[in-house]
This record gives sequence, C-alpha cells and structure tokens, in this order.
Amino acid sequence: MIISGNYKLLQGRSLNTVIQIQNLRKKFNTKIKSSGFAAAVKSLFNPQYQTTHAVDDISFSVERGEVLAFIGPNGAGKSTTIKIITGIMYSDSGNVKVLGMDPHRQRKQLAYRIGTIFGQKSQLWFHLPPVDSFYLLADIYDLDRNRAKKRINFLTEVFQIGSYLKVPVRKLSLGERIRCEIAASLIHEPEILFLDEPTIGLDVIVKQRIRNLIKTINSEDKTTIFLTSHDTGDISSICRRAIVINHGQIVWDDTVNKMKYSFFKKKTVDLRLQSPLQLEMDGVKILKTKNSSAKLEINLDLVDLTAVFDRIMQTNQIKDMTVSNPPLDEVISLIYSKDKR
Amino acid sequence: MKYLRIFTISIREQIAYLPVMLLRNIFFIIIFYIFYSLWSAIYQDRETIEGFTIIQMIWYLTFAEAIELSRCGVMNQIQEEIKDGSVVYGLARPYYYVIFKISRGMGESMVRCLPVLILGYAFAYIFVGPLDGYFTALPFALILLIGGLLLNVLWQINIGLLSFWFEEVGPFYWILTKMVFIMGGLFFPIDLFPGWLAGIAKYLPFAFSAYWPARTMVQFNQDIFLTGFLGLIIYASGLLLCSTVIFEIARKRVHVQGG
Repeated sequence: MIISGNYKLLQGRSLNTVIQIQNLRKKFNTKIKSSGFAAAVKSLFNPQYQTTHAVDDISFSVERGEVLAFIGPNGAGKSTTIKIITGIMYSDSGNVKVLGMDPHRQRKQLAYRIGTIFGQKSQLWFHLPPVDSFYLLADIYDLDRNRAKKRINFLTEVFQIGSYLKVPVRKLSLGERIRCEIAASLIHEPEILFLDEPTIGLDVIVKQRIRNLIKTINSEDKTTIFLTSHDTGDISSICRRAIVINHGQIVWDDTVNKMKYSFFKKKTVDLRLQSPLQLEMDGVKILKTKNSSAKLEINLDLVDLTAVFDRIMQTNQIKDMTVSNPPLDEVISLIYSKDKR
Repeated sequence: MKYLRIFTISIREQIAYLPVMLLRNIFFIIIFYIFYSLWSAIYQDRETIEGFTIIQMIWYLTFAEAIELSRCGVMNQIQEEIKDGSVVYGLARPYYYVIFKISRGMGESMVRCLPVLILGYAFAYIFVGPLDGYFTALPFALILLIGGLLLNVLWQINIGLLSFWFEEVGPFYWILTKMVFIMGGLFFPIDLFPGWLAGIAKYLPFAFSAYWPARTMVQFNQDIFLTGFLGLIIYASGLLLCSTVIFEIARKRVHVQGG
C-alpha cells in the first residue's frame, strides 16, 4: 500500500522523465544452512533455498532535475533497486527505463550518462593527488583534454578544492576527501547522480557543506539527484521528494514536507505561562511541567490547537510558546513501523 | 587510451611506495648472496653445468628473481573487492574490469621490477663480473620479462576472480608460486632436471614466468627468444581468455544474484 502518491500531479508541472520504473520485481534464492553435521551433509545432496522478494512490484518515475530521497530500513530493497537502475543487476520482471535506455541491455552507454558515489567506497587513488584521479576518470569517460580541463576547473571552483587538489588523498581529511569524491563523480557531467550515504561519518559542519554542494550541482548543472541516506538531515535539507521503500514495496511517495505534516497527527507545544498550568482535556497530554513552564503533546485528531489555547487562556496567560513538528526521523520510524508485517 | 592512463597512474601510485620497496630489496640481497655462495661451492670443481657457467648461472638468477620479486597485489585487490561487494560498482563504469586490472597490475609490477633489475645487475657485476653479450640480449630478454610479469598478473586475475566461488583464494596462488619455484626454473635452469622432466617443464606455463626470460638473457639466440615469445603469446592469450570467461560467468551471477 502506498501511503501517499502521484507526486507528479502534486508538482503540477511537466518535466522530462529520466527514470521510469513499472512493476519491478526481483527475488533472491538464498541457501539455508541448518546446524549440525547430518544437516550439513544432507544439504550437500538436497539443498534447501529460501526465497526473498527484495523488490516486490514497485513503480515510480523521476523527473529531470529532481532531488529525490530513496530511503528505507536496512534490507528494504534500496540497493537492489539502485543496482537494477544502474544496470548492475537484472530484474526478474517489470520495465525500467533510465534516460530512455534499458540499463540491462545498454549498461555501458548508460554508464557515460550517470554518476555514482557508493558510501565510503573511494574512486580516488589513495597515494596520488585528486587531480590525477580526475584526469583518469576523464579518460575513462572519453573526455578530450580541453573539455576535461575546463570541467575540472569548474568543479574545483564550485567545490572549493583548489588548495588540496595536488595533495595526496591519504593526507586529506574525510570531509575534504568526500568533496573530491563527489567532484570526481561529476567529471563527465552525468545527468543523474546516485548518492549512497554521502555524509556518513562526517561532522555537522562538513555535512552541511556537502549538502549545500549537492544543492549547488543540482541547480548549476541541472543534475538529477537520487539520494539514499539514513541521515534525516540529508533528506530534509536536500530533497523535496521522498520515496520510502520497505519489504521491497513503496510505502510512501510524496514531498518531504507532506511527510511531516500529514503523517504525524501530533504537535508538541512548549509554553511559558503566568502561573503553573492546570489543564485536563481530551487529546492533550502534559509531558512535563516546571514552575510556570509546560510541555504538551496535542493530538490533532481529538482536539484543535486553538481550543487548547482558549482553555488555557481562560485561567492563565501565555507569555511565550513554541509549536513544533515531530523530528523527521520519528516520522520515518513511524512509517517503517506502520508497515511492519 | 584509458587503459594506458590506468597503467601510468598505477606506476605513479607505486612510486609512492618506493622507499618501502627499496627496503624490501634488502631481502633480495640476502637471498641472492645465499645463492651465490651455494653455486660457488657447486662450481668449485667444474667450469659448466648443463652448459651454464657460474657467471651465466648468477646472472640467470638475478633475472629470474626480478620477475618473481615484482609480483603485484592485484589478486588481493580483486579478492577484497569481491568480498566487500565493491566489484559490482566497477560494472557501473565504462571500462572492462579485466583489462583495468591488467593495466593496474602491469603498472605495479613494472615499478617493482626496475629496482630489482638494477640491484641484480650491480650484485652480479660485483660478484661474478660482466655477462658477455648483456646489452645485445637485454632488449629481447626485457620483452620476455615483461611477458613474464604479464603472465603473473593474468594468473593473479584468474585466481582472484575465483573469490566469487571460494572464500579464500590465497592457497591457489601459493600452489602456483611453488610451481614456478620448482617447475618454472626460478632457483636454477630447468636444463638441470633429468632430460624427460626438463622436456616437459620447459613447455609448461610456469617456465615462461622465469626460465625463458632468464635463459634468453644469459644464452641469447634467436631460437631461444622465439620459443619463449611464442609460448608467452599462447599462454598469455589462454589466461586472458580464461579470465574473461570466468569474469563473464561471475558477472552473470552478479546480475542475477546481486553483489
């Protein structure tokens, strides 16, 4: 069941579709190993397999220039889907078109038009400066020398990596290296960039810098960003749209904002009052009180915010107040848990 | 062009290890001195053994050892990439994995080989004197030496790719290196074997990783070089074909079953 959907209608604009997936399925057969010697011998002659539906009938499309979060718990089917989209793996059934190509049959042609960064797996040569890896990648993607030089200059400026472009990679900090990794994946001007956990292990300042860079390349190059991350900060600050996948099925496909607002029917309210709070009301849970301050959780399905404030103001005076949405990771956890089978 | 760039960048990366490599060559000097002492004792009461003088024997060893001590680490790289799954990400790039690994392995091997060759030259020159016809034979022997390095890289790729099916492939490589030690003529020329065994061993693939390049160096003539060259072409083509087949089977497995 998809909780929300038809994102394209919500956007209200028509762009080029760069990824089109229909009814995609992929299952794996895993050999079961029982414990004990007899079972081990038996499994040699009569192996038993367990079928896992890694991707189970998913459909979605991505438009050119979109910044999409593709998220889900471990083992949900994210990596399998990405491997199928990038042509690394075959699907069992369904249609996949990426930039108008069949990734399975046109893997090499597609490779020239997409970029990938997979977690902490480096594409830079450890003992050499990043610029050497950049020129190697330019050769791998068949860029001529002039074009490569221009592109590297452009990326050096955008990513502000000029000061350590000629420093061996082993001497760079993790943040500096990740900036170079992302720049490296953009040498051939890919139309779609697949980013898998690009900010893992980085401190908050570097994370923010990387997020800004991703936004910059999306706006400067019009590169479509397909982001996989467990870091909700990445999702909320970079992506407009999120697809949540769990047990191989899409359980959410809509804007990140809507995810926050429509999914959680509870608000948290911090109050500073004239005198200590005295309140008993359906749908209102007092989380904490201290002197004349209080923290409430209000269930919007049961009571209106204004009704709660009216009731408080009948006997008290509100000096200050903050109404907050739940943090995004709570929302995502809730989506995951609602889908538990 | 892209593979040439991989080769040159691999050379540059290896140069970063140069101090470590030079230290490693201390080991070369030690084993070389042991062999020199051993052969000096054997040659005490004779001029030649199976047509080799002591000068030829020592120069032979320096050349054969140069190939052996220039082994690259491409098998371990492949094994690691298969174990941690990163091999699949190479499939999303426009290059052929096997050729990429050959280029990288050859770059590594060439850099490792050069200091051993120089050191071997110095050692042999100091201990037994110059080798007649050294500079005439050198270009031909270098072709076979590079071929020997290529064979080693191809063996490593083939064995490394077996990691798709086997948890640990080190033992396969261990057996291979021992075959090169014994049957490939690494420690002494194959001609010293009994006639029937030498006849077989000379045409096994292991001989083209040590014996033929080293013999071309010390007893150069056109026939020896051409035999070495022909065998090299046949075995290198066979190993390349084999690695391509293994990789394609493994790739299908990745395509179907995942990384």
